[in-house]
Amino acid sequence: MTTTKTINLLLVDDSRIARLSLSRQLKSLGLDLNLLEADSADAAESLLEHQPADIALIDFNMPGRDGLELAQCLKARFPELRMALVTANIQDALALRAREMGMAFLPKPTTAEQLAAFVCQEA
Amino acid sequence: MSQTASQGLCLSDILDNLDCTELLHSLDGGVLLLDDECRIIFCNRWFIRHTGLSEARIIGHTTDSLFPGQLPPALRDAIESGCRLRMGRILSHQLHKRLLPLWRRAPGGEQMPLYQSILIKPLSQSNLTLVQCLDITNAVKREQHLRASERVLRLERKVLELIATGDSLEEVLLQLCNTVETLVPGASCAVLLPDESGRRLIIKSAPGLPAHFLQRREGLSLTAEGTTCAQAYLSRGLTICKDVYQDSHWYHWREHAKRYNIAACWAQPIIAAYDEVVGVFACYPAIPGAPDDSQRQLLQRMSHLAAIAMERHKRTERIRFLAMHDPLTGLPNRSLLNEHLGRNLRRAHRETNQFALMFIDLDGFKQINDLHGHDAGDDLLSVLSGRITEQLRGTDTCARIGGDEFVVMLETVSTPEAAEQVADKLLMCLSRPVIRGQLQLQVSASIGIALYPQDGTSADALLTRADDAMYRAKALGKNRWHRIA
Amino acid sequence: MELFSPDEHDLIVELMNLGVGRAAHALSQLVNDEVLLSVPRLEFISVPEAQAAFRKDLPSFLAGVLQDFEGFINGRAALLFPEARSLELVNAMIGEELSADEITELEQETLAELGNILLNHCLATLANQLKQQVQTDIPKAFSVSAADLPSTLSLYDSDNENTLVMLVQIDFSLRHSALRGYLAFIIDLRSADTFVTALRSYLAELL
Repeated sequence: MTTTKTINLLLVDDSRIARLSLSRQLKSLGLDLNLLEADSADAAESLLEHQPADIALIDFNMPGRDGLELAQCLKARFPELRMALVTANIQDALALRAREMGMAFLPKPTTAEQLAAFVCQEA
Repeated sequence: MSQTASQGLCLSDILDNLDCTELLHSLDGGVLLLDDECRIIFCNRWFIRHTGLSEARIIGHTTDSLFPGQLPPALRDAIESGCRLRMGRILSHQLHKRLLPLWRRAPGGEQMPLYQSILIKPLSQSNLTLVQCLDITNAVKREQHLRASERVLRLERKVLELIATGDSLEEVLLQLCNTVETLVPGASCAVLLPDESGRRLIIKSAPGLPAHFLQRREGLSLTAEGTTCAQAYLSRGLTICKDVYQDSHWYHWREHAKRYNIAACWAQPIIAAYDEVVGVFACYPAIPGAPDDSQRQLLQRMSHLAAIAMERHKRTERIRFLAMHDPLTGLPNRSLLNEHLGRNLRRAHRETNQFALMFIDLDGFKQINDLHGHDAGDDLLSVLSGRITEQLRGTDTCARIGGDEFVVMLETVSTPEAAEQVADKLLMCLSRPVIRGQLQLQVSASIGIALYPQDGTSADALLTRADDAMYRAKALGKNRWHRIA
Repeated sequence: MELFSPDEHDLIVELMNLGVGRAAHALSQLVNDEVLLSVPRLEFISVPEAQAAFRKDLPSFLAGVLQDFEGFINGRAALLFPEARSLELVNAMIGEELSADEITELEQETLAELGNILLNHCLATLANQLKQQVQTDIPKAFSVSAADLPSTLSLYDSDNENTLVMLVQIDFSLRHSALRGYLAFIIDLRSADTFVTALRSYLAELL
């Protein structure tokens, strides 16, 4: 007997269109998702003060702190948070840095399949 | 309208009648026309010549099928996107070391790969794509040469700046060694200069070799049986040892060679003005062999710069010496005396011991000058100053501060009596006649003694005291020393 | 210029980012090292505004790469950076320590290729995502003074009423070199209808 728990998913990207694109794809997966959005590293951190998140999809290229810098901070504060770096900069070196931090690496533009694979990975 | 309008022809007529195919064939560069499936529908003679394939073999194939597995992915992608997606591309040599497998013939007849850059241009009025192949081998060679020369010039400029700013000779020699080590990868360099005896070469600078190596090498004897460096010094020419393990002269140094990765020795003598050999610039490559033309030139230029640096150093030293020494006798002058005096005061104060200052005035010197001339007087002074220094220890100072005035500083004395004894000896040697040809020149001395700390604790006090004492000695009859009680 | 709504503008920036990211990927494979490119800023301005911006913001001497394009949109694109730093960029790309002050003709070709890769990917990605077509010409490297830039970009020839300039800031980070350049797209508005329509329908699907 499995109870489907609502997954709290945080989208961090400075582009509204990018967030829209992602949320559209996520909604098409038919999962029970509570979508949270933040448009910068700072906004993400203050959001998480008040609301919990299970998963975070983080854009790499943002003004201010970049996605990896944010991930570093979040990892320290929320060790249970599963994170993926979503980026147009598809590079081995960047993918390596993400993986070293325990993050998944999702190249843009994302596909629904890739998102499903990551989100549903939950034990 | 072109100038041929008068002949009834205009440019567009000429172009219309031109055989474009022939034009493409006569171009110096490869031209291919591809269709929208990347198949070659035209190739020019240049392309045929430089691939070694026949026209029949080429037409109808794609570049990929002509050279299966040989083309880099970037080129294949570029051709695809050119033909199918109509995207123009340039593939530059610097970013793609390898493009199409094309060959050129070197002057000697050997086949060599061709440096190329490729332009892919989708033609706007058709579905064809132009692929243009440019042979840039000459441009690449020119550039490599240019960049190499620039590198050498930059390094040389650095050395010249060091020389110009009068930096220490050590700095310059170090920079010279570093320069050659940069341009001959794996090599270590050293500058060897003759020691005081002039019979051995010692290593003055060797940044790439460990410090104890410098100390251990007591010096290479400058004989005909000497090592490569010694031979370079003696023969005044570049001396090469292609393989130190094959050369009997290197027998004793083989252990060193092995330890410091030395496989060969290129020794360039450093030749200064008037064809004088002043040292050796040595390069020790890590692989055996002789230097090529550019390396020979490099060694020559570096040794020339070393010569300039050493010449400058010598001149600077000479100027410094002249500024601090009396030109006639070579003794320190007043400036240098003051320096020594100041230093000694501090030392004596620290170590609480005594030292002595003596003012020496030659009696009857003026008469010698008047009677026998200034040359005689000068000679007399030279001899007498020599006699004074003979009586002194290495740590003592004797300075000439006036025409016939000297100041002696005994660095340290155990008792006042010790100073007096030295003064006695000086009186004796100064009153001994000096033979100059047929003449016997004789003077005597009046010496004033002042002791630290009893007679004064400052330079001024001691000098004044000694000066006063000297006048007393004169008043008391000359040819004696006096110390004011 | 108010040609685009904030969402449309945002979409164009995202698409540029995608294109620039693809270009970075292609470059990093060529130079065998990490290459990071990002688009901190993008704006649409008129020709007079562009001329003023060039005079004000750009350095007095520029190196650049010019490339014409046509398809769902027609125009000319230019990649611009401060001339003194173009050698640095080439150095970073070919991984050599060139001790010169000037860029040689072969190195100019390498610079042209950098611009070519970047511009092709940006335009191709824009086209692909909007399900359109575009074709590009071969690139040409140039170096001019800021005063001569408008004529190099043929800004004087264009019909100001119907020309739009899309000015994009690009940050490059290659090996140990980091610098900022500009992409200037000189767009013929009369050809822009296809572009605008495609943009709007893409958005419509999203929203």
